[in-house]
Amino acid sequence: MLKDFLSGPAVGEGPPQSVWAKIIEKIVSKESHWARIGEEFFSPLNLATQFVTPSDIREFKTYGLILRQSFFWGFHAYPISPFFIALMLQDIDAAVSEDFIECVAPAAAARLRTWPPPEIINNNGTRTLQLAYGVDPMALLNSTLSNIQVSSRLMQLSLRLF
Amino acid sequence: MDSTQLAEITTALKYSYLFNAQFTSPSFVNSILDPNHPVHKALKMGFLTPLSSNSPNILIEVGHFLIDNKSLQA
Repeated sequence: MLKDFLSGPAVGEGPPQSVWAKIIEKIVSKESHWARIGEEFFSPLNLATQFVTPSDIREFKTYGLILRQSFFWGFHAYPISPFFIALMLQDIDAAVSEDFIECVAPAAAARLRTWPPPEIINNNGTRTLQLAYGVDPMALLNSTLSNIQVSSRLMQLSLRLF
Repeated sequence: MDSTQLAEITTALKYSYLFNAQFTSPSFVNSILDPNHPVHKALKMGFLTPLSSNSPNILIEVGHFLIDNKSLQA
């Protein structure tokens, strides 16, 4: 019935899919709930628990329902992140498995594969990671560490890397 | 840098790059990945709202099929 409503007087799967795509597009445009990740996907923002309102909860429930409906109708949910969808469908291990990343985002997989970099042995015999500014994995670290509220330990690791 | 430290950074890179995650502790707990967070609960609740009495199981089966067959193409 909802699908018929989306189609209007039009015939075939194309019109409801187009309307659905617009709905998804509209959803991810809400910047207080969604963030762009990488080049093409959107993932829900991490909202601090104390700032989540009943209105947010209602909206997030709706996002979940719309995603669920996409699967039942066989409509794509692009540009909602496939990693986030896999997390919802299964678990974090499935969402970040190398095979899955390679399948849905080969460019991201290629970038992530550059870590860890090879080790080099310094003149004094110590080993350090081979990191060069402007190329992966250093560029990847730079782009992602800005998202990270680093713990003191991770900060220490980062400083050693830089 | 030992293998544990390398693994920690690997995890941080993956989570940050793939989820725009904000890490607040070395255990990488963050709201989206925390099943008890209200946003995560609300999304999951919407995702698993039953269409009929037996649909939640069907949805989970569909999810496993998609992931197992690596066909979850955006």
